[in-house]
Amino acid sequence: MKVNNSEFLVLKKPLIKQIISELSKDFEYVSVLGTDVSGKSYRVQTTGVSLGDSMWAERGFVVRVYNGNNYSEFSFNEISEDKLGSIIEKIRKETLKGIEKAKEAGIETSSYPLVDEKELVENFQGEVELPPEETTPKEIIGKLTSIKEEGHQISDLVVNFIAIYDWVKVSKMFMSNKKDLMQSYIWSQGYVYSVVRRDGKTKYALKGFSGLKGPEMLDEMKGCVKEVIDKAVMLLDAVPIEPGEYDVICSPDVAGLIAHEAFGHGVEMDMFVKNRAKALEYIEKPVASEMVNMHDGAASATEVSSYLFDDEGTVGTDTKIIDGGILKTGISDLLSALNLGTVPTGNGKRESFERKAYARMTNTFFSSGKDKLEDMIASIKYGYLLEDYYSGMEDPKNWGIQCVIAYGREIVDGKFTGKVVSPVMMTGYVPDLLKSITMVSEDMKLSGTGACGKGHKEWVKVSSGGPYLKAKARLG
Amino acid sequence: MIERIKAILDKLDGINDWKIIESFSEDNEFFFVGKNLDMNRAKEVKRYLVTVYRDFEEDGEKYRGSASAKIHPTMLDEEIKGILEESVFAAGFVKNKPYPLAEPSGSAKKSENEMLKGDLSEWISKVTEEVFESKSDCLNSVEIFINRGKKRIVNSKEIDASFDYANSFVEIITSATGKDEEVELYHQLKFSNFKPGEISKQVSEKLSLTEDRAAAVATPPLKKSTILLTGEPAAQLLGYYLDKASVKMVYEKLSTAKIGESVQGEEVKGDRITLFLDPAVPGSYYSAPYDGDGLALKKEIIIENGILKKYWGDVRYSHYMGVEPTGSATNYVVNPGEKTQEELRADPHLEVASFSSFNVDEITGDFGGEIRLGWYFNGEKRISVCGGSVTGNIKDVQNELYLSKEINNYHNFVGPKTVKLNNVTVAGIE
Repeated sequence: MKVNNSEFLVLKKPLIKQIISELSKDFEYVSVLGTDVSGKSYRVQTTGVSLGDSMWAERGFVVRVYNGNNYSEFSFNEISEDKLGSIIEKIRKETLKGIEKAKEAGIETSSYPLVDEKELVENFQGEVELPPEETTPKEIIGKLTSIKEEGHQISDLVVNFIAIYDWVKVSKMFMSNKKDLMQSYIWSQGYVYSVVRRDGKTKYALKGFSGLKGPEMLDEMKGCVKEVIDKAVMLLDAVPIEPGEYDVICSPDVAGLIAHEAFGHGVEMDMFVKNRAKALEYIEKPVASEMVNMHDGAASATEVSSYLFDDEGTVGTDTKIIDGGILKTGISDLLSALNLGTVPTGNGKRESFERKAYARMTNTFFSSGKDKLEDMIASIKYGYLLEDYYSGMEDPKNWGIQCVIAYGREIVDGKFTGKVVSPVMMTGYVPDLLKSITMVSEDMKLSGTGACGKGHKEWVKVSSGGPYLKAKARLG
Repeated sequence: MIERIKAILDKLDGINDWKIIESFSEDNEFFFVGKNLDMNRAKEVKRYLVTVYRDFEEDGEKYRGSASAKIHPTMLDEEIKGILEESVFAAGFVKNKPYPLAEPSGSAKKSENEMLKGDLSEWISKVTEEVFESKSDCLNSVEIFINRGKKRIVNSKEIDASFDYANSFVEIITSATGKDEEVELYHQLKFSNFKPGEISKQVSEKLSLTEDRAAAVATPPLKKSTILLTGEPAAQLLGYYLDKASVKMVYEKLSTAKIGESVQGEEVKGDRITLFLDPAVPGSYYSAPYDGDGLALKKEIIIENGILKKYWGDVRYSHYMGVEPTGSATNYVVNPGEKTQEELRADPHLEVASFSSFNVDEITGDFGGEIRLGWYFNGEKRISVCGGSVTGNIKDVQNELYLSKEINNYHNFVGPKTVKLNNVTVAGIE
């Protein structure tokens, strides 16, 4: 079923046009992003139920103007016909005040060229199998409750079993003197999460679900309860790993984390502008094994960050970041592209209308290869299969990487021994890690649960993934 | 707007209680690349969060359901009514044990903050001047946010708590040139109340740390070592004990902490932790007189000499656990130890001041991170190191945990600047 556009944005469009028209008398470039994002977050656990609006829900506007030298912005969420004059005056005053203050203080400003836009009128309305608004809270809570109850029937070690389902309807409008863009789509995410305890030791495991889907995702979640509990119970017997370098096979989600932290954050081109990315020195140079290919883009896959246009009105693309081990290009927001003289890739994303746009990832992944997983496992003399992760951290300047991985299954002479190590901290120098890749599996998977920060803030929705990868990694 | 929402709530059927949180915020933002202002932004936003509560009975069991919804200032009455009706309907399927709402508990002490006065653009200029006061060539990029606002919490039990706030967030990337390449470190400064000289002092300290990273060599493969965590990671490690004492964590069986028992296990050979909540730490970004229920906050002792004295938490979970609510935590304060940092550094150790991201798992006690800046002392010589990782579990090392005499303020933490732990795993570089 087609996702409806926001009635609110459609209703306010004439007012936004008036704002652009008025401000264009003073500024050579004016654009407005309008957002109307709604959604619900359901959580059913052993100890209770919670239901509220999604953390991603928002409704407001951000105006960007060219101040003659660079760009200024104002975010607001009150708009009405009778107050239009005062809103326009406020935008004019607030955007210029900062620049005037900077001048008074003798602060120099960066210079940017004027945005050169082409005429574009587009409307994108995504499809969803089951519209969330047409599924009652009773049905959703009922399905999550049955998942939770199944969890308690499987093992007495379970002290808390949690089932979470979030749906979000994204509606955005981008307007300027040349662009008139509208898009609406729905994504969902879910978690099945088990906490187990034995002899005072507590461990947990979870499985995430995501996609451009509606509540039909709840049926997928239902099928993994035992798997999640078995993993959590397995971790009760896990031991710390002996620090060292090992041959490893990274599962698709761990491969996705590596892609994301290594050459996702590493090629965000606002970092090129700031001279914070080592990648700039390595364009057209080898950074990975020849069998490594990597993409990012709103148009590169169908997952939670697939859209028509980004938060600066640039149409999303498919960027091939690594081609046969050679670093080809980065991903860019509009202003970084203006600064660098490159073409924006549709990666300018904001946490919300209240925040600045940065170069951000969308759907980031290693492409699949030709190897079979069983051959990859058989090829390991001593090492680990690394599965699931808790978090990661980028270091675009110095190409370090931190991946906190949930567990590793020991492999000796090509066979699992049954020994499990947990948690596992994978660190290293990104090119060393990627150049050590010797096998790439033929299947691949993307996942878009959680959120991605830039540094330690500016949370946005992304997906990442890949095939199984065989590499050499430092574990601790 | 609150009166409009209340009028709509009054006419709704099936509603037993409600809560509205109104927040208004305005801010000024500067984004620098090097010393150049790359973009300026401003913001003026109003937000409303409405929670409706519905009591119902099913199969002889009593329940209190709730559902929350964001109300935007552009919504017309009909739209608000529709959303709140949906929330009341949905709350009827949320089966939680009954609990009360917060009731007026007296007014809280509101702290003075001179950033509440004057124009935001004046404050952002002052903060900018301090950030760039010294060695500004070594600042790769800086983001400055000056935020001011008002928060009001009202509920159907006559809570009407409001307070003004003003604070600043500064993100700084410092860089320094090493033998082979330029290196950087990431820092966040969060504060309310502008203290002249304080920002420039902190920036100078950060620049000095970055120079140490530029001179760093690879962390040696120590396997197991005595570890000193200094600054941010020390605050994060001690935050584990705050989480363990959360009444919500205990109710949800994610923490097994019990009042009257040791939070550090048996046979504690090192320092015993004393931790309290202080909602009014001067200059803290997180200080607030009321929590999200509108409950007036005050100083509360939570852990004393390693023994859990009291759980902390909101009205609902405190009611479930049969304890007096303290309100949600804002700032946590940990008493210092008796040894100075120099004394803690006497024996061979690895001291880490900056990780890529230091993670402490509040459920399992696992901690660790990739080392961005540390110093290795082999008993004779102290050298700065980088790379590799530190991993461990608090439960395995907490019986010999030592706290420094020196105090540090980091975000919502006031406490020992350095924490010493023995026998922690270090994956160095072979």
